[in-house]
Amino acid sequence: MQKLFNIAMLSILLLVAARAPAGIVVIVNNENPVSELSKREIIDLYMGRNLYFSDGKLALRLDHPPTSGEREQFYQTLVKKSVAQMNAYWAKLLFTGRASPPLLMGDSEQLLDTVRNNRNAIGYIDESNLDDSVKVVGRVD
Amino acid sequence: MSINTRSSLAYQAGLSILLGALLLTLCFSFYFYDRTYREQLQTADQQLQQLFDTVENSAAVAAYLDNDEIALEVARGLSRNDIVSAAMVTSLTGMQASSGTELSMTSPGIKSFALESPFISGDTVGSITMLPNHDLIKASAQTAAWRHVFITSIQSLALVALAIFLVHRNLSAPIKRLAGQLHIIPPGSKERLQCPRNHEHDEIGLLIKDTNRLLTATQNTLDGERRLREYAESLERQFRLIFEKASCGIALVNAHGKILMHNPSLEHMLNITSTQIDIKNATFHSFFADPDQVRTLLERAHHANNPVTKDLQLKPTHDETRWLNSLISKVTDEDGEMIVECILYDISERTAREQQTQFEAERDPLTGLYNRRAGFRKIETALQQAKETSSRCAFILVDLDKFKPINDNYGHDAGDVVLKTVAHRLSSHLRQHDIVIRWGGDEFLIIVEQVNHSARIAEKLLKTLQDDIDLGDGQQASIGASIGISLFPDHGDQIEDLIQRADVAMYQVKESGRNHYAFYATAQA
Repeated sequence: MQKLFNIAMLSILLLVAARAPAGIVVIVNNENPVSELSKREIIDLYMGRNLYFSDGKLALRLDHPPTSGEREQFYQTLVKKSVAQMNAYWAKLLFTGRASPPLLMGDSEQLLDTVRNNRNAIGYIDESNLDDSVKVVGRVD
Repeated sequence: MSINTRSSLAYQAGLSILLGALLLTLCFSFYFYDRTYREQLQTADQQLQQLFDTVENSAAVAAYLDNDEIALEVARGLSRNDIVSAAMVTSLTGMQASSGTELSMTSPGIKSFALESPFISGDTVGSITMLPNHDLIKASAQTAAWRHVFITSIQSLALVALAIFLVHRNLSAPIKRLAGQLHIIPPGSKERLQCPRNHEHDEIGLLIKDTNRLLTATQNTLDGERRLREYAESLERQFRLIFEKASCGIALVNAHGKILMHNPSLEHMLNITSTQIDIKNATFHSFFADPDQVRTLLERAHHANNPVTKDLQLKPTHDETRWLNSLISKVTDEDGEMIVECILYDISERTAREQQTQFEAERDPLTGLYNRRAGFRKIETALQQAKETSSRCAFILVDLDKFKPINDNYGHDAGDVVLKTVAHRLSSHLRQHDIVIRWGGDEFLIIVEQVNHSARIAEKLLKTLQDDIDLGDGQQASIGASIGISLFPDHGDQIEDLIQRADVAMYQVKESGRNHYAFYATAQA
């Protein structure tokens, strides 16, 4: 009976997920004092303008693999740029040596792991993959 | 006939066109320079905009990230363009990178473009400032303008040259040729201007047509005048011929009798050549036997509307009496002075012939005295005159005493000699206007006005008739006469009565012894 209930719940979730894709949430370590980030703060962090949290700690920015749906959705929603455009952006800045792109993760699981274990890490995941091990500081819609 | 090059039509037209073209070129050049400069400025603006568009992304990133390396590279890249003197990239957060000449925000013509955040639209992160190269723009505008001026000038010069050539070929040259043609055409000749080809329907053709019409008119006028002059000359010749060769004498005489003009015939008639009279100083009437009569006649002609005609006797020369028939009429000369025209015919011969005829009709052929018929008419006239003037006259009848024996003894020729001698003696003892008539064979009737002297006249006649008459061949004839006298109006007022009473008195003398005279006595009747 329990098993049947679980299947039914999953189906409902899948349906919901299919119909209205879950939003992207920006997450930090639970111990990070930052409780909320504005959209501008998220942009400045991810575009390399500002590399520090408000408590002065250097932020460890994490990114999804180039082919992942989250990555594409994140940048498209945040700054209306494609993944390719963002690559070009970073390529342009690469030779100055002043700015570096976020650290690339293997998948969502690795990203979640890194945030859980690193106090200054910051990342983004699909809302459906969220759990209590990380703290949500912003939403990207 | 030549025209100075400077005053030729082509030169003047060319000069005008050239000056006009130069002026227009100058105006257009000024306008064009101004416009080109503005266009260049506008083009520079567009180029700056394009440059900005090119570097906008990089500059925006540089400003967003305060990346002065990228900013400097952008600024350098911009200032490397000819039209940019200086370029500067700034961010709102204080980053600044510039290249090129000194640049301040107050430089004239400076251009600023805002840089938008590459990630957040509408969010300005910095700016690009550029100073356009005005010297270059100006220079390029000038170059364009000068090129335009040069091209326009060349074009204008070419057009001017073309215009001069066309004016010369289509206007000057034909007109010059026509002027040359016209110059050598003598007035009144049959020559006409020839219209050059292709000019038949333009203004030159019109000019030629009108000029030819004028030439024709001139020729006609001159021809007409020549014909008129020739006619006038021939008329004058004919008139002069008539005037000079006319058989009649012609003279124009003014109010004072001065001869203003005359023909040769007049000189001949007035016998001027032989008398050595200067006709210029002589008066017309002085040539005539009765100058007063002629003067009166001239005055009459002056006031009469119709010609006056009269036979006038010339002053006798060498015992020759000449008569002129004169036709005198009034004319007015050009100055308005009244003069008379006299036309004279010599009628001396005719007058002489008429007088001869009259003489022969009235006279007794033997004695030359009035014959009985003519004598009777003379008596009638004389008696009429005496009646009118209440004067008297005497009828003297002379009868020769011893004429019949002479006729019988010596023949009729001797008788004729006696009669002629008697007639001569009677005439020579009487006055011109006394009337002597051969009344019968040896009977003579004499009418005299001097009644008081009639007795003395009778005695004189008796005395002259008593002289011997030479009959020729040494023979003398002695005759006498018996004379009877009657007086008018004492013894009657009828011719027949008076003659009859003179006859009575004469017979009384014959009976009482002849060779005497007697008055008619009333008692005898």
